[in-house]
Formats: sequence, structure tokens, C-alpha cells
Amino acid sequence: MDKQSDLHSIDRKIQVIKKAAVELKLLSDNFPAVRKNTDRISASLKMMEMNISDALHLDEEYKD
Amino acid sequence: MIDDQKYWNPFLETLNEEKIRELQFKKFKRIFQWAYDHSVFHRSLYDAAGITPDDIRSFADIRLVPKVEKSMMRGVQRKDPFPYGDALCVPIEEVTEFRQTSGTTGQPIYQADTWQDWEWWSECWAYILWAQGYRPADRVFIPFGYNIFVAFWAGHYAAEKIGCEVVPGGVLDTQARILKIRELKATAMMATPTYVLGMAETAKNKMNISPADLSINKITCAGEPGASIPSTKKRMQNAWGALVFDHAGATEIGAWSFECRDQPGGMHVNEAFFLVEIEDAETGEIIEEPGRRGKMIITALDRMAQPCVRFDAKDIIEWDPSPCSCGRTFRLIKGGVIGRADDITKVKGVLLAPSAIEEVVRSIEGLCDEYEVVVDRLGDADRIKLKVELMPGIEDRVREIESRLRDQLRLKTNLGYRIEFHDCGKLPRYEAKAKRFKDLRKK
Repeated sequence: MDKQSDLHSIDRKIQVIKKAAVELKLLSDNFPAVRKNTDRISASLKMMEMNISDALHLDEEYKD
Repeated sequence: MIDDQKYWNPFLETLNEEKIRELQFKKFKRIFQWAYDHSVFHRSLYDAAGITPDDIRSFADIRLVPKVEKSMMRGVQRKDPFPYGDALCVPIEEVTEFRQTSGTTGQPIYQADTWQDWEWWSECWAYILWAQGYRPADRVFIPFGYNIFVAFWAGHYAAEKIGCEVVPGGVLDTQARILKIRELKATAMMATPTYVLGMAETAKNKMNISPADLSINKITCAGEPGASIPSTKKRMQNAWGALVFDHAGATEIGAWSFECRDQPGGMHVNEAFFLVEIEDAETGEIIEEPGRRGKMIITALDRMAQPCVRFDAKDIIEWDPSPCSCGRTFRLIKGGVIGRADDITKVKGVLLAPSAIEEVVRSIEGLCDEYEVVVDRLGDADRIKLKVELMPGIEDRVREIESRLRDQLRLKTNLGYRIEFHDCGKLPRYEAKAKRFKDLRKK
């Protein structure tokens, strides 16, 4: 796999985890341990997006 | 092996210039929209200027966005949502970190960060530490107070993120810290240049320990100029037998720049996370070409709770025309932060940057590390006095040292000084940031 393909593979995984984190948060209304740890996962995922996704999708409009 | 990787982020740190600019533009539009939509303070500033996010259609349009000065921030804080006031962009419940500026230039600014912002802080510092050679095998000793100033907090968390072992050296006094470094064989340290030299002085003069015999092999300096002043860097490196690296950051900005392991005589701007513009102090035009000094206007492209958008930092910098041998495409600022616009003052009609005095004093063998400058006025005439400390045992060379000092000061600052010699240890010592330049004319 070339470097660019690696980056896109990483980016796709980031989005998968991000989607799972959003779903986890929706399930955690009454579960502080899950809710708060999910928030931390989301913050770490944001770092991944800053490190990879933002520069990989320069021609796309920003989506939260 | 991941530890052999040269770059924390091999993708962004070698991105070509065109892509970096595209990334910066995209992210600037995003943070500008965010501040416009969520900050009462920023919105009123932009409404008064008649500018909206739709007006930013090219990189050049960024200059249309009004700058923010520290004094403006002071006026909008200390009210609800308390204490951040109109600058806060998130619900107060999402703020997890309070820090404040040191207050050296006036009333402190309160800085809010969400957990995501705090992660961002440690992410920025991870770029710094990795570039300076920190790796999981390092045991990092951090001798600072862990207090309300952001200082080395993010350095601590970044060292953890990288996988280092972190030894928090707060509360211990200087001698206890030195003993702990020796006991644990710490390999890296973070401190202000003043404290790096101060620890070395304590080790040598009070404990009969040569810091160069300790296990520290790299030191990250921040908090004040020094590590980019060649003679100060040399003194620190010689004292500790370690490589010393500079970093410039600020509470209200973030960790925006770093010296890499190749020590290129400047610092990289993390251009993936920060947009740095250099403004001519006289004309206000943006300086693109290397070699011209100006004031830094900076945007933190991802900071959300209390954004930093076109902040007039008053740091004086210039771009370096040369690429760095480390291979990073993040541009270098030559000589690091050369000075602060509000530190540079006229004495006897001559513009004086305090860092020029430091470079002279610390380049002269026979003088101790500490010095003090006092500017006052006698009638209508400015006077400038330099107090220095003579190393013990060389009193017979004082005339020679004085002559060299006067010559170098005249050459580097174009001024004549009254010079006072003191015994080593007589001038004030500082634990963190030093206040060596006293301008009594302002009172």
C-alpha cells in the first residue's frame, strides 16, 4: 500500500470509531462512566482528525 | 520501530507549502466562523468592522479580520459566564481547565479550555518533544510549581502521551530537585532558562555537584527568551552537558513553535495548527518575505473554548529563508522570538532590545549568569546602568573584562553604560521568569 492509501485507510478507521463514539454517547444518558469516557475518546479522535483528516480532505467543507 | 520515526506526524510535518497554505485557509475559515457564531466578544468586534465569514474568500482576505489585543480581552472578562465573560464560546460546564496569564504586562487574562482543548495542548507539545528527541525511554523531570500558569502542564501531558516516564518535580526545593534527578537518573528536563542556570549554580556552589555529571541529556526551555540567545544556550548546554532546545508558546495562544534537534538557529512554527502572520510595525502590511522583522499576529486554528483569532502577540520575529536540515516543511523563524515589541524601548534615542544585552553579558567568560539593567533619567537625559557579577578569583582581570564588556555593548546596542560589578550571588535570583530589565522612567 502506498503512503496516501495508508492515510486514507487510517482516516476511514477514524471515522468508524467516531461514529461508534457518537452511538455510545447516545446510549449513555444514565451511565456517567460511559458518558465521560466517551467524551474523552471523542477528544482524542478530534486530535486524529487534526493530524490526518483535515489535511486529507482539503477540498471538502468542514463537517463536525 | 515507531521510536525511530523522525516526525511525530510524518504526514503534516513534511506537507508541501501549497498544501499547508490550503490547510491553514480552510481551518482559518472554520475557526473564524466558530468565533463569529459563538463568541459575543469576537462577534461584536467583527460586526463593528463590518466583516462576516462570507467575506473570507482568499488567503489575502484573512488580513481583513480585525486583530485582537490583550487589553481588549481584559475588558470583557470577570463577568458572566464567570470568569471568562464574553470571550467564552462553549457552555461553562464544558470548561475543564482554568489557567491565567502571568500578569507581567497588566491584569491577568483568564483562559478557558475544554477537555478537547487540553488534549490539543498536549498534542501541540507532542510535536515539540518528539522533534527534540524525547522518546518512551526518557525519564522526564519537570521542576515547576504546577500552578495556575500553563507553563509546563502540557509538556507533562505530552511527555506522557509520547510514552515517557514523567517525574513531577513540584513542591521540592532546588536542592531536593537536583538530588531527585540524580537519584532517578532523569534523562530530560523542562524549565525556564533562568531556572536551568539557577539550578546549575545551586548544584555547583551549594552541593558540589556538577550538573554535567548528571544524566540529563536534553532540556526544553520555555517561558522567557534565552534558549535562542546563543551565549545563553551555550552556557546552559555547557553547564548541563545536555542539548538545550527552545519553545515559544503563550497561555492565550498555545504551543506554537519549537526548536528541532538539528538546532537550526531558529524555531519551527507548527503551521498545521497555527497561522502566523508577520506585520510591519510601522506600516501594518503583512511581511511575506524572509529577513524582515515584524510583529507576530497569530491564530490558533483549532482552539475552541476561548479562540485565539489574529491575536497581536507583540513578539518580534522574522522568517528564515533557508529550509531546515531536519526536513520539516514547517517554516523557521530565524533566531526564535527576537524580542517583544513592548520590551523594545528607546534609550538615549536608540532602540534597545534587552536580549542584545543578555547575549553580550553571557558571551563574556568571567561573568556569572545573572545581570540587571536599570534605565532612569537625570534631568532630561536617559541613563542606563548594567549590573553584572564577577566570577570568584578573577578580580585581577576586572579591567580587561570591563573593557571587553563596554566594547561589545557599544557594538551590539550602540549605547554606553554605567557598569557596576558585584560579587557572584549578590544580584536577585528568580525561580521562573526573570525580571532583569527595570525601566524607572515609566514611573
